[in-house]
Amino acid sequence: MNENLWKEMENSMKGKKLLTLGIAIAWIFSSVVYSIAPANAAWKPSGPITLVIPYGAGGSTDIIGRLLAKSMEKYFNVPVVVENVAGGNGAVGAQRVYNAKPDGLTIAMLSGSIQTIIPPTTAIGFEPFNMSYIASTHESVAARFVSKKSGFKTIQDVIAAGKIRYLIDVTSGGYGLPDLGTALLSKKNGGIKYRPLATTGGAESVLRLLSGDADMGQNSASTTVAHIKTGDLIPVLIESASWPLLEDMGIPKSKDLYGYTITNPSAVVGPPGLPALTRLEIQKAIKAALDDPTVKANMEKTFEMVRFKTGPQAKGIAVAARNSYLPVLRSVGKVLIK
Amino acid sequence: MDTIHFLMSGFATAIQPANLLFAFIGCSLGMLVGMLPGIGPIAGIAILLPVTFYLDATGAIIMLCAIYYGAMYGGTITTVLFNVPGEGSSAITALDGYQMAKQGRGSSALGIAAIGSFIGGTFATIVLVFAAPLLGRVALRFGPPELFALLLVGLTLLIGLGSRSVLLSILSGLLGLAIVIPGTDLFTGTTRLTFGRNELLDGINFVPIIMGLFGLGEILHHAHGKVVETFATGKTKSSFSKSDLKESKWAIARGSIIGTVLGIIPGIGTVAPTLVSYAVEKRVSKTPEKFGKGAIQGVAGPETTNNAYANAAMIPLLTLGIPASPTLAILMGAFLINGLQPGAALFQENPTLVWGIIASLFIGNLILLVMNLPLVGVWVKILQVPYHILFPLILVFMLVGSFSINRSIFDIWILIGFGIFGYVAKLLDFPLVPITLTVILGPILEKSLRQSLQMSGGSLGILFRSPASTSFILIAMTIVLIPICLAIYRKVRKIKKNSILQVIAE
Repeated sequence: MNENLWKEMENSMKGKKLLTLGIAIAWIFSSVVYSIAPANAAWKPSGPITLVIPYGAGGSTDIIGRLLAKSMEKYFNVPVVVENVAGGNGAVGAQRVYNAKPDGLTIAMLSGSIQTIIPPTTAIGFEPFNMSYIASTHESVAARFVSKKSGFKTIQDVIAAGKIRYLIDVTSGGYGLPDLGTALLSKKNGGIKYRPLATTGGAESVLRLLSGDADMGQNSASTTVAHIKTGDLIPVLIESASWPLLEDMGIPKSKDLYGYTITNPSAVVGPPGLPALTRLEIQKAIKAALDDPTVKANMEKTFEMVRFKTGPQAKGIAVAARNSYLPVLRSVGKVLIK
Repeated sequence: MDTIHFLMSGFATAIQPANLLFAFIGCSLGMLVGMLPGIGPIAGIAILLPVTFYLDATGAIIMLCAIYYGAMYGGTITTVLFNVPGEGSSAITALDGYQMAKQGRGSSALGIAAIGSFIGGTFATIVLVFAAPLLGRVALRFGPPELFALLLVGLTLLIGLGSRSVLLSILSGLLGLAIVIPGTDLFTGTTRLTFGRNELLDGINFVPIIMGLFGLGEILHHAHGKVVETFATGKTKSSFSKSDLKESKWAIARGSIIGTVLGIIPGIGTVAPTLVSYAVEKRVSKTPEKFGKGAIQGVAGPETTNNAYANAAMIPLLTLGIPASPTLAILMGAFLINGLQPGAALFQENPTLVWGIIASLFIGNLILLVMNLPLVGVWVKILQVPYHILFPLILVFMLVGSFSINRSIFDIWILIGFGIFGYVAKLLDFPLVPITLTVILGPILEKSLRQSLQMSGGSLGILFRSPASTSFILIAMTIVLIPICLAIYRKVRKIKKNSILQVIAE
């Protein structure tokens, strides 16, 4: 075997080795690329999505949820089924989603209470903040109202009366944001006398105000707007961050007068451990819904403050709200000792 | 005159072909969801809520209203035929309606229910047309003390209903109260006997309880008893007669008034008025012993009442914007998403819509009657389906229905548990009606009493704050005390008589 031939063979072997190495690198590279590619591509639901509304049908969260579901159906081209799983102020439905598989096919729309006030005051067995926050669609408005029969015109009238006699404060049952609002109002004004009159919800609490059985109460928009127009209910203090209708009427804000705000933020959440790309894709679908002027206008018919927030923003708002409530809840003995 | 003018213009809106079609679709869907146990008008309306975005507001609301009152009649069908009250408002109908079906008089029960529903619904709508604003103001005067006092009258009227012993009735009633203890205390927010289960945070839903006690209990009872193929084979009547109507005319009249009056009171719920109607019918009957054994008045009264209630409950909704029941709360949601705010102002702002809806109530009630009278013969034919086919089907519907209320397996266990309890109770002749009453009325009674005491700072004097509440308390006391006084009087007289006889003998 001459030297040239040997070298030729050697070169050929090297070439083969190089070729083999090249093929191997290419195979590994393509495998890696292949395995990464689906993850980088947009997440697509592998089947129908279930949007759990943890409250009864007909409320503002339910209506907004149903509108969102319709829009998400178009975005993902799969059915988005709304399920009302009521109970425990949202705890039952939220827990259902908490325990679901984190595949993006089971999500929930929570209102403020189950994120902020229920976990520290009721033993629900799970922490909503451990869920995967996807986005937020709206924040509920709240204001303190008095009945026309009460004779009060301003919040100062209410506070002055509360220094002399017990006021009947209509609430929505359990210990919720209306109770918290009254506790804050009392604390910021050096204590006022009041007795809570628990009801089963907004409509009944408005009825008690209209009938004169209650002196004051915190309510949202859907049950009060008609009575504000007729003058049967008098708004005296905006307790949420904003309520444009009442701001136009010159009603003062609790933040300006007494330095507190009642925050009732909604959040669309998934089970803990929802993959980041899945979360982002559902967040995009929610943003697309709120960017649609028709969908947004229909959502705004509930009188809620409809606006898009990302998952981290939504969680941040809820965490800040709960943290701001905790000292008051502790002072009224409502925080459970864990 | 204005009212008549507005009503006529309302009819002009309601009889437009599209609106007639919506009313017909609503009535049909309502009947369907009413017939399916557990899937009531709440689910029916909720599912169709988004549809309203694509329809004209009047048509959409006409359809949703029709689902609401259509379901009231639909629930009667399964109650009479299978002893499965899919809706709370039909529960009391089970007592006599099911017995009538077993005796081959199912067509009479369903026929009189259809006619009673039509008359009750129409009567309440006439009241709505002419007295809505006035009655809306009456509703405002009816606070927690008045509601508590009224429920007290209802409960005292109902003590001993369908039982051989008052003591057993009281025991059964107390058991019902114990069942509704678990849940979250409305007034403090603390949990009561929930054993760490979130399913119990809102207490136990009464629909699986009633379906279990009556429906499943009945199926188990049949499975245990001697094998029979079908109900009343060969002697089932396929139509109802004029004599049925003659026997029921006063029950229908009373039911119309009871349903309308109680429909105006927010918070009383759909079930209490039917219970009151049944109790009144039994009290005024010359043959009270026939109640629970197939008395047609026991069907006519409550069935008239529940449709009168359904229509009258529109009064607080339309005049005050106050939904009197969860179903009406969803209906109010439908108004809101159409940019309408129910309340007195709506009559001024949108009279075409309001009067169109009111006129459609008349038309919808007529549609229900026209649809159902011919169908009575068809429904009773179902009774000829052999048990071994029918009962598994009913069981499936009950299981699905229980699950669908809250999408909860827990509710299925409640159904099964109370089914076994209902079966054992039937074997022991233990009265089930008082449990049903206290399970339904207990939470409202507790809430109204505690609300009253919160308002007064703990003083019971608040229960006598108005002529209405004082009268109701006095009526309740009279109902309880008269039989006790009579019993004491009879005993004293007997003792006196015996002692006189003894003296004479000596």
